[in-house]
Order: sequence, then structure tokens, then C-alpha cells
Amino acid sequence: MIRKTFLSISFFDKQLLTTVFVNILSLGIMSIFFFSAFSSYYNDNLLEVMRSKVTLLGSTTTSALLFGDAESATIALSSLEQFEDIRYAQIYDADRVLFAEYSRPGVQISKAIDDFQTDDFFENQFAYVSESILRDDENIGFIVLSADTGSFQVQQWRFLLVAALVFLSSSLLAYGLSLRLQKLMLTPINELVGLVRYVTESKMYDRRVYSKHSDEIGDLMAGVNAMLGTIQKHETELFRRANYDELTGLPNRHLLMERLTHAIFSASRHRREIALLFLDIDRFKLVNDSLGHSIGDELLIQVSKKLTSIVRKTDSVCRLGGDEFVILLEDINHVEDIEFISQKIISELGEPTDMQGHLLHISTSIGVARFAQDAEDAIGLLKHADIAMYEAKNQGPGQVCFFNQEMLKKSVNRLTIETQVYEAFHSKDFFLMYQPQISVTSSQVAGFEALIRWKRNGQLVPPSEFLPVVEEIGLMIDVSHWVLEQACSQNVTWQKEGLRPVKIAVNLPVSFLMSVGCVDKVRTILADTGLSPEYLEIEITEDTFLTSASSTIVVLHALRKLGINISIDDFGTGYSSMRYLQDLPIQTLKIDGNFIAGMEASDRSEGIVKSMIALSKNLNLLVVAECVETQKQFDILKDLKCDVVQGYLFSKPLHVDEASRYLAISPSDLGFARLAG
Amino acid sequence: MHPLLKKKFLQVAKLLFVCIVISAGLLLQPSAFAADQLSRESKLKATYLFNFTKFIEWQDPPSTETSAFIQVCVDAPRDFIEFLTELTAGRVVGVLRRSVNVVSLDSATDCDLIFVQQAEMMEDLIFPDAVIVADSCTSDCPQASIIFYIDTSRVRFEVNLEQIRSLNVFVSSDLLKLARINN
Repeated sequence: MIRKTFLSISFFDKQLLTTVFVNILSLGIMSIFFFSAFSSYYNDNLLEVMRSKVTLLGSTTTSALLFGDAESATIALSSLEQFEDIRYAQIYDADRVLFAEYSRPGVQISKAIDDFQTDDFFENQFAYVSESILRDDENIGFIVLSADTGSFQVQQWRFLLVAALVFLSSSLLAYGLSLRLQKLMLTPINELVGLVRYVTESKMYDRRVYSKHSDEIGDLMAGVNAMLGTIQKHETELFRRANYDELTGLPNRHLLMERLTHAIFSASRHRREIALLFLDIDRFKLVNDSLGHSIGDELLIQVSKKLTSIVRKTDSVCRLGGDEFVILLEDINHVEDIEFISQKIISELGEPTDMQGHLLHISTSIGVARFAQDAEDAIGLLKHADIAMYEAKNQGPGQVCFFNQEMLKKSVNRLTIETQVYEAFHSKDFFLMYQPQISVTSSQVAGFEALIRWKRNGQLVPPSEFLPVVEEIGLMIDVSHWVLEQACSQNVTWQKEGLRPVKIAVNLPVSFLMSVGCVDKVRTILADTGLSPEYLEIEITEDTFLTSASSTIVVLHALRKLGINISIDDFGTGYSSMRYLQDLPIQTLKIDGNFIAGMEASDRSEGIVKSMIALSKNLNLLVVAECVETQKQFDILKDLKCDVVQGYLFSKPLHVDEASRYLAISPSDLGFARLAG
Repeated sequence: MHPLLKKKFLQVAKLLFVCIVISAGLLLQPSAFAADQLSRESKLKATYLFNFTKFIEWQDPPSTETSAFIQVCVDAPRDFIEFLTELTAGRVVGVLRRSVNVVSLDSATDCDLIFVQQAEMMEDLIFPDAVIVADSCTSDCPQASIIFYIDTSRVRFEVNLEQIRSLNVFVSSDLLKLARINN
């Protein structure tokens, strides 16, 4: 019970009780010690006094004893009357015969001389002292003295009372002082306890305790303050890391969702609109892959700064990750305001940016979702803005799209396609078709362009529809590898069948060219299939050099070194630059079909084609015209000294068996064009 | 010699021998005999004489060597002397722890304490510095320092303070407080 009660009280009460208990124990022990010492001292003193009296009386009565003068001895003993404690005194001669005696009236003498075996002793409440009376070394008698210790008992009780009073007052004083001292010492500890309670309940680390103590308490307080400082610092750092993007310092997805949720709540209450702008940098991956991550990171920082400077202070610019940014616009009154800000962002970001000597032209696509029109919660709003951005991207660089429900359906479809593309690749549902390239001068098959095809549910899916999906789901490198391997292998097969050796052209995207070990992969494919490099042509587009010129050039040089031909596809449609015609190890230019198609109707198009062919001739490059579909186009091209033509006029893309037969026929005139019919 | 005479002679000789042996034995054990014969009063006085030596200190002249014993000269019957001799034998007294030597006054050459039967007898002071203890004094006994007397059947003593102060001795007050003082 006591233990339970003791355990239930506070620590400081325990300490107080312990202190008081120790004090009381000490005082009790001291009181007992002093009382014992007093008793011992009083006893010793009494005996000493009695011994003195005995000695004195013995000495005084020596002569009386010697001369048998009992009367004188009795008179001497009677002097004890003045001492109230003395009960009686007796003198015995050497033969132990009572010689003289004094006794207080009423005192019963119960002791004989033979009872005094020891000199001094106490019995009941009486003290007894005896002594031999000596004279010249001779024992001439004995003297006996008895005293009442009643006064001692009284003294003892008195002392006990005083001791008890001292004990009680000391205990009270000890309790009072302990209480006061403990309160003094408790004040800083209470502050500490309050601080710890505050931290525990509020999870805040901003409060501190201050003390002038230079003792352990002071050290403890300083330690707690330092600890709180460290925790607060870590807490701030954790908060920053949890809520802000490390690279740009912008709020991250977590904080965006918090702000968005709060903004939606506020907009609901005040019946206002908010807009969420989801944007990313077009072809940022190319920048990252070609110029390196450091430039990519710096570009992101520049973009974040521009975005922050464009929007209002009340708006939030957040980085979701990668090149994706989200802008939360609150208190939007008109949709024109959103369009204005979006266009301003596109315009600002479209400005050329100098990145460590590289002048970059970037663009952005923006998707917009509005509360409460497009979604009523943060997740929905963000998802719809993302879908809208994807739609904007589909429309080309630098576009803004506002979300609508149709986009949602498309998005679902797109997701379905992604899954199907993935499954198709792994189920080997992709296949190649080969479109012949005809030499204008010899009318013979100069080569084939390998084209990837996918038949879904018995229907061919256009490459323009599924290849972007392949790129986005990260399958492009694997698919390119497969196409390259298939094409090389087929070309070797044809050669083994005794057909005339021709080049096989394969389109390789920049993602494959920039992939790690690209050159080694190509080398391995050539080695595995046994195809001579001179019968392989790699087609690249102009966009490949837009953001990754230097690294791509290195790869192309390496491929060229293997003996592979490099061809620029769709020449004239991209960011055509004379510089890469100078730097690149290319052997062939493929004029885009749009120019060929326009030749019949437009002199300008013919002029462009003519210029391109002249440029190629001047650069000693082979010229291939794509999408040649009419005889007139062919005639013009022939007149312009175009080297090779490719198009439906001669043949559509052929299945492998058809291509084999086409090559085996080896037509000597253009009559084989009917095959394409 | 006639055998009868010879027998008578032998009987007389035997008886004489016995007498001689008895007499010799009596002569050889005088003290025991004396002690038994001595009265209680004489014994007390002899004891008191011895006790006096415990309370009196004789001051030897500075030039003389301190004596190793206290010479008690007794003018009393032989059995008294013998009793006293027996009483003091082997015992020492005083701060100087001197032994007590008992001699007959007649044969004494030096005395510290003299016991006489009658104080009046001390007309000539042979030993002027000796403390004279008298068994009794019927008239004026100026030379006696201490005189025994009987008081209600008890042996007491009187001290002539003037006389004893004239001597070269120191008397303990313990002795004086028991005595009847005669100035």
C-alpha cells in the first residue's frame, strides 16, 4: 500500500519525502546517540561523584577506624545527609564487621558487605559503590555508599523531552528548508518539464528555456536548448526536403497537393475559380541526353526562375519532377487571364537560352484544368491538367490546351494503346515491310527502306500512331534494335539466296543513337547477321541534331567508321542547317515527300528540290527522292539528276516475300512499277 | 649403687628432665603466652601506640640521615612489649614507609616514641625529642604528650597540644580530631 502510494506520487514529492526521511533518520540516530551518551555520562558522573565521596569519607574516617572511634566515623558519614540522592553509607572494619553507618530515614538497607563483589554496580534504580579503606598499604576496612538514581531518571526524562522537542523542531525545520530548497531547485526543472510537455503536445521546437544556473541544471538546460536547436534545424531541413524541390527550390508535389487542397477549399467557400497549369519542356529529354544532366539541371533552374517571375506572388509554381511544372492560379475571374498567362509562359520560355555556350531554343506545352469545372478535388484537377498537357503536346510545341471530357477518353485510349504496344512488342506482333529504292540511272533496285508495321485486330496501325507511344513507354531502343537486327538479317538472307546485294535502310531515332553502347550494338548485329556494313544505311532526321549535335556526331562518325552509310531523312522539313551537312559523315540526302508532291503544282517546290539536288551534288552526296507517285514527278527528278527514287510509282512497301520476288525480277525498266499497283 | 636407689634416682632424673623440657618450652614461647595473658585494654593500647606512629611524623634534623625505622621504647611488662613487637613486625608506616622497632625503655639508646605506665615517672628527660605516651596520669604530667584514659569502658587518649608542639614532630589532624585536647 505504502509502496503503491509512494510510486504514485510525483518524483519531486518522492525526493522531498526521501530527503525528509533521511533528515529524520539522521536526527533520530543523533538523538539516540546523544541520549545514550547523556545516560552514560550521567551514570559515570554519578558513580564518579559517589567514588569521590567514598574516597573522601574513607580517608576521613581512617583514623576513627584505626582508633575504633565509631562515633567520629558516624559523624563523618552523617555529612552525607545534605546529598539527597545518598541513601546510606556504611563503614566496615577489616574483619567485615559493621563499624559505622549512616542511612536516610525510611531507607531499607538490603545489601550486606559480602554483596559487594564488584566496586560499582546498579541495581533496580540504586547505585552502589564500595571501596577499601587503606592506610599504609593495609586494608583497615571498607566503606559502602548507595545512592538513589531517581534524580537521574527525572533528568533522563527531561533530556528525552528536550531531545524529542529538538528532534521535532529539527524535523520541521528540515522539512521546511527541504521544501523551500526543492522549490528553488525545482523552478528550472519545472520550466524544463513545461518545455518538454510543450514540445510533446505541439510538436514545435521553437521555444527555449533560459537559466542563470552554472551548475548541472544550467548544463541540462543548455543541452536541451542545443538539442531543440538541432531538432528544429533538422525539422526545418526535413520539411524543406519533404516539401520543396532540391534543384529549383520550388514546392514539390507534396506541397502542391497541400496548397491545391487548401485552394480548392477556399475557392469552394468563396465561390471562386482556380486554374491548374501543367506544363513540361518539349524535348527536354533530348537536351538532357545530348548536352548532359548538368545543363539539363541548369535549364530547369532557369525555367523555374522564369515561371516564378511570370506569375503573381499569390500563385504557386511547383516542380513535380523531371521537366514537369505545375502552376496554381488562384482567384481567376476570366478564362482570358489563364490564356494570357499561358501565352506569356510560352513566349518567355521560347526565348533562346544560353546554357554554358549552347544556345537552346526550347518550347513548352501547357495543359489547363479548372476548378470546379473540370474536377472538384486536387488529384482530379492535377490528372486532368496532365491530360490536357498531353493533348497540347500532340498539337505541337508551344501549345495550350484546356481540359475537356473528350481528352479524358483519348487519354484512356492512349493508355490502352500503350498496353497493347507493349504486349505487341513482346508478342512479336511487329513486322517489317520493305519499300524499294530505285536507281534513276540504272533503273535497278538500289536498296530497300525497312519500315515497321503493326497489325492490331487485323488492321494496320499507322506508325505515326504507335511509334510515339513506343518512344514514351521507353521501348524505342529495344524496338530499334529489333528492327535493325531484322533488316540486317533479311538482307543477308537475300544475299544468301543469290539475289543481287543491295542496301537496306533503317530509320534510327535519336534515343537509340544516344543510348549507351549504340555503336557496339550495331557492330554486334552486323557481326551476328554477317551483313557487310556497306549494305546497311542508317537514316536519321534533322531533329536529331537539334539538341544533341555534338554527341550524335560522335556516334555517327563511329558508325561511319564501321563502313555504314548515313542518310538524312525528310531533309528540308526540320531545322535544316548547312553546318551539320559540313560536319556530319553523311552520304545520302533524302528529300522529304512534301517537296516532291509539290513539284507538279508549284515551281517553287521544284526549285527547292532542284536546289537540294544541286547542293547534294556539290557536296558529293547521293540524293534520294521520297514519295514519288507520278510519272511527271519522276521525269522532273530524272531531269534534275536525282540519283534514287522511292515511292508508290514504283512500289508500295512490300512484305518480305514480295520484296524477295521484286529483287529477283531485277527489272530493267520502270514497268515493274505495276507491282505496286 | 643400690638398685632401688638407682631406680629412685632415675625416676627423679626423669621428672627433672620433664620439668626442664617444659620450662624450656615455656621459655621458648613467651610471646604466645604473653599475648594470651595480655588484657584487651593493654592490647588496644599497644595497637593505639602502633597507630600513633601512623599519624605522627618525626622530623629528623637536616644534618642527620633519616632513620629507617621508628624507635618505640616501652616501659611496660614484657608481655606488652612482646605483643607490640609482634603487632609491628614486618609493617611499615608513614610516607617514608619506615618500620617500627619496639625496645624496652631500659635498654633503649634512642627513642622516637616512649610508652610509660605512669607519666609522673618521667622526671628526667633522657630523650627530649621523643613523644611520650603515658598509660595514665594521676596529677600533672607536663612531659607526656599523649595520655590514655578510659571513657565509658572505651580507651581514649588525650593530647597535650602544647607539649607535642614543642617537639620536633608533625601530628596529623586526623589524630587530633579523635583526641581530647589539653592545652
